[in-house]
Amino acid sequence: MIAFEEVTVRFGATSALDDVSLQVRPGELCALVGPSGSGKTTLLRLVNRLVTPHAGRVLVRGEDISRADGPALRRSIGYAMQSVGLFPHRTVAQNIATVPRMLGWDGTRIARRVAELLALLGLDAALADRLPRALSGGQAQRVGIARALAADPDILLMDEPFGAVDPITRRGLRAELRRIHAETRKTILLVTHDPEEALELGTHVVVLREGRIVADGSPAAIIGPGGDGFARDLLGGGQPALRRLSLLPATEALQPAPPPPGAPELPAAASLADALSVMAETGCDCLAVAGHSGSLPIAAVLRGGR
Amino acid sequence: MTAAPALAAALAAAALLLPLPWLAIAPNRLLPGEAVTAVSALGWLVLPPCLLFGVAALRRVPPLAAAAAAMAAVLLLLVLTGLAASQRLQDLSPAARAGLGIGLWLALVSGLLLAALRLADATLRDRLLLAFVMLATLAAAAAAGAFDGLSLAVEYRNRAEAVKAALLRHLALAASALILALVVAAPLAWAGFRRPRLAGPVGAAFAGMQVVPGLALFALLIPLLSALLHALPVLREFGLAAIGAAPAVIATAAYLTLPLWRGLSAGLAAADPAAVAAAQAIGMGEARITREVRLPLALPVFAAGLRVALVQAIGLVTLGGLVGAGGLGALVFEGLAQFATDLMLLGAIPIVLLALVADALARMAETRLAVPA
Ligand SMILES: Nc1ncnc2c1ncn2[C@@H]1O[C@H](COP(=O)(O)OP(=O)(O)O)[C@@H](O)[C@H]1O
Ligand SMILES: [Mg+2]
Repeated sequence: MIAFEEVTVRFGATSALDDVSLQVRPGELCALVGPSGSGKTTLLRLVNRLVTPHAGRVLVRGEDISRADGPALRRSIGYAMQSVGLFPHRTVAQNIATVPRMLGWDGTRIARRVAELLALLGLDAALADRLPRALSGGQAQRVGIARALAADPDILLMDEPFGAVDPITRRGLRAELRRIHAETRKTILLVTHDPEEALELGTHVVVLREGRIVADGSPAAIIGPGGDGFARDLLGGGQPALRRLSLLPATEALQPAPPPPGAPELPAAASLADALSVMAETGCDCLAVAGHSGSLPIAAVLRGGR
Repeated sequence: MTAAPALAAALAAAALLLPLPWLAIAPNRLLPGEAVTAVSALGWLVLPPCLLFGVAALRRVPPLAAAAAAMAAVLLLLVLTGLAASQRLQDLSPAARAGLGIGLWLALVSGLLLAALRLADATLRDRLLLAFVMLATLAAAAAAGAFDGLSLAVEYRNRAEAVKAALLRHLALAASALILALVVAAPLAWAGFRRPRLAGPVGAAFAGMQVVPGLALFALLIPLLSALLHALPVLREFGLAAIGAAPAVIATAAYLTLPLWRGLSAGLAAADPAAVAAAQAIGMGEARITREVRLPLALPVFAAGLRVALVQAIGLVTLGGLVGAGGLGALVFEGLAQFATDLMLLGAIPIVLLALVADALARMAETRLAVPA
């Protein structure tokens, strides 16, 4: 869906990206993480040609975008960012309708789409006629995401979209994004500097450092024992193996033998870290899993961490 | 600060009660008159207005009622004085005039000041409403002939057509100057916005303009324009002349460029950079960003600059009376030259009223334009 081929970007003397190659497949939620200044935003802005590479090529939907019309390309790709940038003189509904209006949709279709998006993002329909000033930080972020999604783009670029909200709202928005991704199967590039967010949301995690990609793979693989040291330090929070267990579903380590009588039962959606937590709490070294006939012995849980 | 209304009320009352000239009864429009005090002109009727001024200064009286009381006192004084003047003139020759004395002016100004002070915190709507009621009552009293005895009214009756024409001319000159200044300031503000390096020198040039004294600039333009017309006689075909409207409009416009340019520049810079960045990122082109984001966000800020320029234009165009441009300034300067105070006032009062009305209307437009909080 999106491919970077040996891309280099320079701003004056500083090199923001250095010979970067990356493939993002359709439907992936690719999380870009890295310290500040590592080139995440630049990588994102290459996709809709807000930044042009000095060397290399960027392909979107299989086509080299260097010859594409910038504004038209941008209208076909959703973009949401930390500073949101809602238009202060336009209502929530008008903000959301910006791209559909530019694309010439008719009034009824736009109204229908706005209502749909307010519902998708869990925003009260009564907010439609408010001005951005009258929104809370979390609501404004949601409206920004709704505006990015308005014309139903197949690609969505998000630059720290939850950066400016409190941790509780942030958790809510994160769950929302996961649901939207699951429901719409859009290709999403998400820049974040929150390791937990990257591991929790990403189906594909890319770690950048000083303009280069140092790790690129599934969340569990990146912090697994064979992963890059910098990436494991950045994402592992000092306990990469525990983090990894929290990313793996408990059912993956299920053994065919039935659980011992009276074994505590895990919910079906639990992770291996949840299993370990229940074991530590109850002192039992073998668990049952709801809806499954097998058992979960401690040895199998620990094998998952490696 | 709270003492200010009391002071204004005391001044108004003093103007009424002290032996100051209230009316000047003169044999004709040019000779100085014989002074009559308020007490001798109005008798015991000086008391009701005094009482109203006192009420208006009381802190316990709600502001709107207080302002209304002060305005009622002013209106009452005008009407009573008008009637008293008619009476005094009854037995004199038709050329005799009843001029307004310093005491009356002092009472009017302090009375209006008192109303304004009490209205300081009122909403724009209330203020406009009160001003409207005041003007309507004044117009009704004038139509009923209440002021027919006053010299100013006689002067107006004799010159009504000329005053109306001068008013329209004044407005046309001010509007032309405003448009000319806008035509100069707008592209330069845009250029300065695109290339910030230009903003400094342009701003300095416009600010430099302000240092030149108004009268000097109006006078200076006459030889400059005649030199230009001498060099390029074609310009005469376009109606340009060294004397008349051209120097007045050009000189006034020169002063208006600074507030307009400042308002435009501040307005363009007022757009939230995040909103502009977002507009670009979701596929708006430059022209559309300017049209749909920068300009709407600039408008409320720009409106403030436009208001300042508008009020300045109405004031500055007055000097056009000196370079043959006509307008209300011509009446003022003619009155000055003849020592005819009433004629001077006939020009000056509409200028002040025009400026006040323009300011109020522009403020209303500004609040309408501002993004509601
Ligand atoms: N428009 C720009 N002009 C100059 N330097 C820039 C610009 N954008 C980014 N940079 C530089 O490029 C590098 C990468 O920036 P960025 O992609 O914004 O990093 P991140 O999003 O990971 O914090 C930084 O050194 C930054 O200073
Ligand atoms: Mg960034």
